[in-house]
Amino acid sequence: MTKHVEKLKTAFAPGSHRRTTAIKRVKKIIYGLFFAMLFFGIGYVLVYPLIYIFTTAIKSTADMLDTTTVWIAKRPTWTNFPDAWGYINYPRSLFNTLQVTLSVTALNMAVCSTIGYGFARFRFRERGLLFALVIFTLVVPPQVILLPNYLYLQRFDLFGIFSLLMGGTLKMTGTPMAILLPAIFGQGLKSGLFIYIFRQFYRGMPTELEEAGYIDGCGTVRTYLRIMLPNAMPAFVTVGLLSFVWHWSDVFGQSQYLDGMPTLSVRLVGITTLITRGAAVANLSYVTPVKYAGVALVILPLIVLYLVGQRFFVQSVERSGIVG
Amino acid sequence: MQQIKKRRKRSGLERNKALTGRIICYFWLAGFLLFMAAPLVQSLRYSFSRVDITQGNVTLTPTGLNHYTHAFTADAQFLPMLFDSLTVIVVDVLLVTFFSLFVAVMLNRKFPGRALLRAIFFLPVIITSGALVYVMQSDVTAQFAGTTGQAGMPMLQTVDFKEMLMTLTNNNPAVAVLTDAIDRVYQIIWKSGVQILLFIAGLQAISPALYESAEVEGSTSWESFWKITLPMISPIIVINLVYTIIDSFTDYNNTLLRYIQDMAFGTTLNQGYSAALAWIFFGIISVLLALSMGLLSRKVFYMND
Repeated sequence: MTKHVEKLKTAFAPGSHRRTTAIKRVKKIIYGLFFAMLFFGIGYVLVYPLIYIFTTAIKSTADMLDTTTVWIAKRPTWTNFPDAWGYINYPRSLFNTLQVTLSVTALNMAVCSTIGYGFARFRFRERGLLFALVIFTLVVPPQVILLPNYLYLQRFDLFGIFSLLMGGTLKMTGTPMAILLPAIFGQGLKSGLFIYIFRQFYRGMPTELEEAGYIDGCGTVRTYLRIMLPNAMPAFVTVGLLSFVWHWSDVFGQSQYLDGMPTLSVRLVGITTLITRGAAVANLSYVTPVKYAGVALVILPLIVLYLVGQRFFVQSVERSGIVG
Repeated sequence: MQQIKKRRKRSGLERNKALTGRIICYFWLAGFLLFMAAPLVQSLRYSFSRVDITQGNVTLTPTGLNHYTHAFTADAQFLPMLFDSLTVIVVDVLLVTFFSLFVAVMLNRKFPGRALLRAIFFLPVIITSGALVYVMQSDVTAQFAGTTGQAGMPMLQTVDFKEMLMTLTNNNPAVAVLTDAIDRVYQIIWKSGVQILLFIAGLQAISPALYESAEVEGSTSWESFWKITLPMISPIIVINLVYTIIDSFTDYNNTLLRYIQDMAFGTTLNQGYSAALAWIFFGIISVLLALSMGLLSRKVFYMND
């Protein structure tokens, strides 16, 4: 007891308070410096390709041939951008990409959230087994099921219903439906991961929230829409961002399923062939800057999207008032 | 009487909920049967046969277990590649999880320039996804790797340090694992994009009230991390483990996967053998996943059960 009082006395002695805050401040500055240095280093590693992309994009052919030019172009040129714009056929490809990406992302958020909720909050016997299958879909690389799935979508027939009703099958490949249709059923590109993300988020929420909804007379659907959804905002932002980025720059699926429908990523991958018109060229110095201008044009919308999206990240929590 | 009535009502609700859950999950299963199961069964059939494709028509000639025995006994490239891929996966999973959790906790604090830094940490998600990898592969690896052909920035490679350690420890394989890990720092940072994003989302979902009450009770931020952050984020840790395993498995840089793909679409056009290799590989990955999830799911903390 007396010891305690002594402690209190020294703690409140004049001058000591200032000293402890001074020590705290020094500590804080040292920590701050340490983390600033650490994150500067990591940040450099991450920004490096971006710098590379943008500096290469404004180089002229002369700069590419000049070995003394490493980063900053001596004869910078902006013409690479309009060139790349033309080769990619930007307006049309952008329209196609947006059409596919936006619809798939909206679908993924709606469908995977619902399925994730189904796996998280409803108990039934075979749930574990079904969820193991969800994880299994993640393990299957798209390359493995490509050929059979392509043939299937080329002559699409939902359980034989179409051929019964219309006497023929539908050709889904070459239209956005080839990518949208699997997503409707939660089978799109990495849909399994999105279901898993939502399931973990919904599972982590307190049951009291749901029970309050049921007691107030909400049905299952209303409870889900009005109570669970708003609280899962971080999950929605994450899934939305990931789905958008992955579909935006997906080459594999789009080049296979969307034949005859140019998208940004597919045009970008083929840009070298487009520039050289398929001829084998030994010296690519006039191709590379245009290629990187194309890369810059394709990733700029994504960076803007993240800067906008990440604001939602912070807001969503401040708005949703879960009390644990 | 009232008690019985209550219980019956409750079980009615439970049954109702089970039905709703079944409707949702069986909807998913229908999709699985349509788009996954059918192609999977097809590819499994391919793996047991010789596949010839002529103008969109596929003909199968059954070969039995030939492809599988060939993979394990005659193919000189397959087994070493498989072994390499698996060690890379195990080491990466551990490093990526620790690194991304650390970064996410840091990025979740309030400090000037946080928005910019978060945007920077989002770059790997953009740059390592699909198109850009294909486009930049040749140029960037040539830039970074120099003549060794090993990916990674030269300045980050611990060549001298590594040799010194190896001679000091008399070529201890455990040290080799460590120095390899240091060599991969660059790749670890690059592979952590999605995981950091997921961890940030998970951290955002933790109620600030928990931290406030802990602080009132006199908990230090170190204690709060172990007692609040870690249990609350544990569901996300499992996702990240699973994702990292799958990501290194389906990675474009995965030599085995490229081998499998080249087998099918490259010069050889051996669809059947390629399918067999793929099935061996993801059989092993499935076992790895099941093991890690089985071990971890008992440790995971969910707020309500």
